[in-house]
Amino acid sequence: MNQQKHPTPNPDFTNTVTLILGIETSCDETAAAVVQDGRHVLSNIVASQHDLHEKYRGVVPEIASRAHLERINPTIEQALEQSKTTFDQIDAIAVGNRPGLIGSLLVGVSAAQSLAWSLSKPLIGVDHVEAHLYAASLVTRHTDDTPPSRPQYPALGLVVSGGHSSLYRIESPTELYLLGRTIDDAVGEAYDKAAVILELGYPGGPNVDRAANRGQPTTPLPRSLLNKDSLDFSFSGLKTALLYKVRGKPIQRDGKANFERDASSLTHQQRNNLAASFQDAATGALISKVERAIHQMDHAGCRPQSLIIGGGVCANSLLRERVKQLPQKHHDIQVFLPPLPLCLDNAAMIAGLAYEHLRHHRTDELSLPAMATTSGIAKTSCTGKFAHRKALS
Amino acid sequence: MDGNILDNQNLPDIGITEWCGVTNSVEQTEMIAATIARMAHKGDVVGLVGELGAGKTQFVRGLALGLGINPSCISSPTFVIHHEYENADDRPVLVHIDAYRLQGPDELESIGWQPEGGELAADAVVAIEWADRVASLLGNSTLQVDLEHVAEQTRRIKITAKGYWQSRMESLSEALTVYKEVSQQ
Repeated sequence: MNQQKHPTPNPDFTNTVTLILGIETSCDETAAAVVQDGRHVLSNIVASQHDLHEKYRGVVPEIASRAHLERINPTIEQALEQSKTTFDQIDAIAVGNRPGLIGSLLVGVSAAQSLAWSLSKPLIGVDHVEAHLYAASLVTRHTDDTPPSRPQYPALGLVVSGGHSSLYRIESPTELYLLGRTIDDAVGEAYDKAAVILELGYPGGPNVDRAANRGQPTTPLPRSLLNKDSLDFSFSGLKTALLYKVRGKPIQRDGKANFERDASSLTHQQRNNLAASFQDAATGALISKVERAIHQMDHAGCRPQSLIIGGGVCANSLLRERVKQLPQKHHDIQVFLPPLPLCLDNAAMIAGLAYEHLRHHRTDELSLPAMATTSGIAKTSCTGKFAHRKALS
Repeated sequence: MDGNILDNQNLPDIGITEWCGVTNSVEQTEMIAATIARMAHKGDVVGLVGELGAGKTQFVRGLALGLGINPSCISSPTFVIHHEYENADDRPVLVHIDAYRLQGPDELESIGWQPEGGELAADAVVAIEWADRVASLLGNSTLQVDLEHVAEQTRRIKITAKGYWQSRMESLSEALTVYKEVSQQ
């Protein structure tokens, strides 16, 4: 690597510098970032939050790929500008190419392909969900205290977001095995739907969290743990149970089923208590499965050294609290919880994980495809997962 | 098990385009869906309409069962909008779409949807949740399934056939009647 490539932005950085430009468009966020050596986040731009809002007079989060198209170039430009980097200084182009919304993924993948081709740089496709579990290894400029240590392996990974609720056994940043996933709604999706049921408005997750903190979990709601060995999640029953607690019984009216009431007839306190009851059940189910996975990995002779969490639901206050309490019970496990901007969808995690691939000389052809599903999750018969679980137990 | 599982109503002898029933468990809802899936051909569209928690995703799980796909693989595509599932044999694959987050029919085109399904539906049975939000794009041959809350475990299911689905309604209602009779023994 060329030592002169980049003016040392931080005296603590090592002499050998590898700069990767990451691009992420798998869902609603158009994101670009520059990460040095898979560790130091030099810039982390997410367009649908607020960075570009002024420029476009308020970006409405929408999923259409043309929204990504409009935003991708300014986002990449801003990521370079903020990291004081030029295209020439970039060593590789990384892109989240799976899983996600295909039309959206294609925008990022096409941009990355064009850049890699025109700049003659390596192209690296990254799994979005695996990247969420790399976020905890990144250091931002805003980290005021000493940089966090890196996770020790084997580790247990939990990804909790709007689209994912998955547990992984992690042998190294690039070697992950799916242990369990949601069989219906993802936990973030359950939060969003709970917010609709409780009429708490957008954004659902944070609003339910806020209401829950003002209430008490007075209503028992089901925590679906499935069968006793399962590491899969299920949140659909919790959603429906909440619906019935909030809206009462359905009644036939003009041949159409309606409910006897809705959330507007609840007092603030009742609504907050139901939000707290939902939050207690949802996070309780996540923690139960994490503990179950720790036991199973332990039993299989690969006790996790670290618990790594990623995904937007990491922002949830009760989940953070409960996760941080885990080492009291499981002494030798260190918990890695990334700072919030790195929990949400971002491109820094893409560029970060790509460094690990580059380090192992794993780069992709320019024909890198965008894939809606991660192989082994939906577009197959699930056998990979079950075969692996057998190997574990 | 309650006696009256599938409460057939108003079934004329010929030209049936509508069928109504009531299920008392998720499993019964899945059985109806599996029956529909076994009658489905490549390119067929099943539109699901119903409130949160009405059982739309559960219904798709039943469709998977009928298509020879492991139903435990089915999860909600609310966030990524669509999932595709393959099976081991030559039966149609399943494309599972959720229009919950779509702001209009044109956004369905962003996942590669064309009127009548296009390439996305060529080898697949397409199940679309919140189909009422994208109704104008679904084409003229759709089986619409309305799921309504009756009680916590009970759902009213209304099936409405449009286009080529109409020609299968008679055998479909027959198949569902057989199920009812077997269950009542």
